[in-house]
Amino acid sequence: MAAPLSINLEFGGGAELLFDGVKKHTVTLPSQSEPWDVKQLLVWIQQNLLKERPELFVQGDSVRPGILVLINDADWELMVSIYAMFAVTCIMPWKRFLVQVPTNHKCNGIYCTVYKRA
Amino acid sequence: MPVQCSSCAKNRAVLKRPKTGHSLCKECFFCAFEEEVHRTIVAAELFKPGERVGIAASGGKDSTVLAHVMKVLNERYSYGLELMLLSVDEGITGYRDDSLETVKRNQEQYELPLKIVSYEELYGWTMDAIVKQVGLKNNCTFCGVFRRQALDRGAIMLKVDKICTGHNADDVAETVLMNILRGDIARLRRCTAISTSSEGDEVVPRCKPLKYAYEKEIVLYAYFKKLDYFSTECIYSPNAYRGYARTFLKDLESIRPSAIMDVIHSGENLSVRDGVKMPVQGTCSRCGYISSQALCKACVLLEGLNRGLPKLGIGKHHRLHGKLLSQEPLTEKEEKKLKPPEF
Ligand SMILES: [Zn+2]
Ligand SMILES: [Zn+2]
Ligand SMILES: [Zn+2]
Repeated sequence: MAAPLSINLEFGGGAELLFDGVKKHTVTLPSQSEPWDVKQLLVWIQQNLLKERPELFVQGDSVRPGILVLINDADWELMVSIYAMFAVTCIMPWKRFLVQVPTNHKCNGIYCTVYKRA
Repeated sequence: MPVQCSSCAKNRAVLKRPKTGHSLCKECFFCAFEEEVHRTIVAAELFKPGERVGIAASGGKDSTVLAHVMKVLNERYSYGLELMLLSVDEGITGYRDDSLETVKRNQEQYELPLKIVSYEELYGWTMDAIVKQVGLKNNCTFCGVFRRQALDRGAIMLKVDKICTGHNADDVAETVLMNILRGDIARLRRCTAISTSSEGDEVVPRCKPLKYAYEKEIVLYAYFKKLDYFSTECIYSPNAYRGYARTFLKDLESIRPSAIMDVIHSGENLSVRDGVKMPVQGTCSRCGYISSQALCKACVLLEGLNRGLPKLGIGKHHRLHGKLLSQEPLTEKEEKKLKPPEF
């Protein structure tokens, strides 16, 4: 039985917009029989923290390709298994696609985007 | 278990490089990243000693990393370049405030001179003023056209020899894909070029020192170096077509990290069969910018604004270029079509 796990979560580069604009979260994951891994963490985040447009954050059972995940300040892609996870950072490098532009809008300038956002 | 750095075998690795699959520690990653940019610069002979180089600075991650690396390499390898940050202020109330603040902090952090050129200086009109005259419906033409030329005009004003932009490998690969999908041969050739020479003397040459740098590495470089950047900034406006191209590429990359480099290489190696028509490029007889007509789009739009005929640049009015160039008045009939909409 793994004890409840307390971790720091941080969202940046635009990903925070999907979490009510809040960048830093400290959360406690409930105890479970197996140690927590990132796949389970993603499900937990989706059920408990994610506020909108899940398709911009998750794809299948992983994060959307391109979103960088750091565990204890190191690239997730390095980890084979996660023993002591205490801080997870998700960086989305392309906030630009969070701004929705109506489909009939053909502009490739910025004024309209700004205007839409305001 | 922490993974060890495959280069120094001493420190804990912090990332897996998408290009090589190597696991590197912070120090070895910084070194590898900077050296690669240096090799790109040297191999493509991007700069000559003594040149004045404007770094297009938006405050976003790419341009912040570019400014930082250019500063480091210029000192480390004595490029002998006079570097400066070059930003454009479109004159949209509230829009640039945060990103220009970031650029101003970058100026202090990197001790590089900063020039912010405003639409007001470049065109005599701010975007807000333009919208006041033409209404929100028609301003798209203006924001696209003015933006494309703004860096060039700013660079000419500041007499820089070259502009370098923060386009990274992901950006280039996206653009290659989009141009293939659209069958745009001329753009396809230009978008893979690491540098574009000046055409028609007055357009400032541009180059992309980060052309082979993956977005992942740029983001992590900025993150681990704790560089100060503004994350809502972007060099592209949200554009659905580019969005799909990007998602497609990212999906490919997640299966095969070399996909991005592969797409760039395919773009570079496509050769155009003799006899395929390429558009002939001339220059604007008023400002010298690349243009297929006698007057470039921006000059026509400006002429329209200044004559109080904002619709002049919207739609096709090539017939009128002769008159515009010689400052002749338009006939009443011609004017009637171009008057601003009644509000
Ligand atoms: Zn190392
Ligand atoms: Zn627009
Ligand atoms: Zn012109």
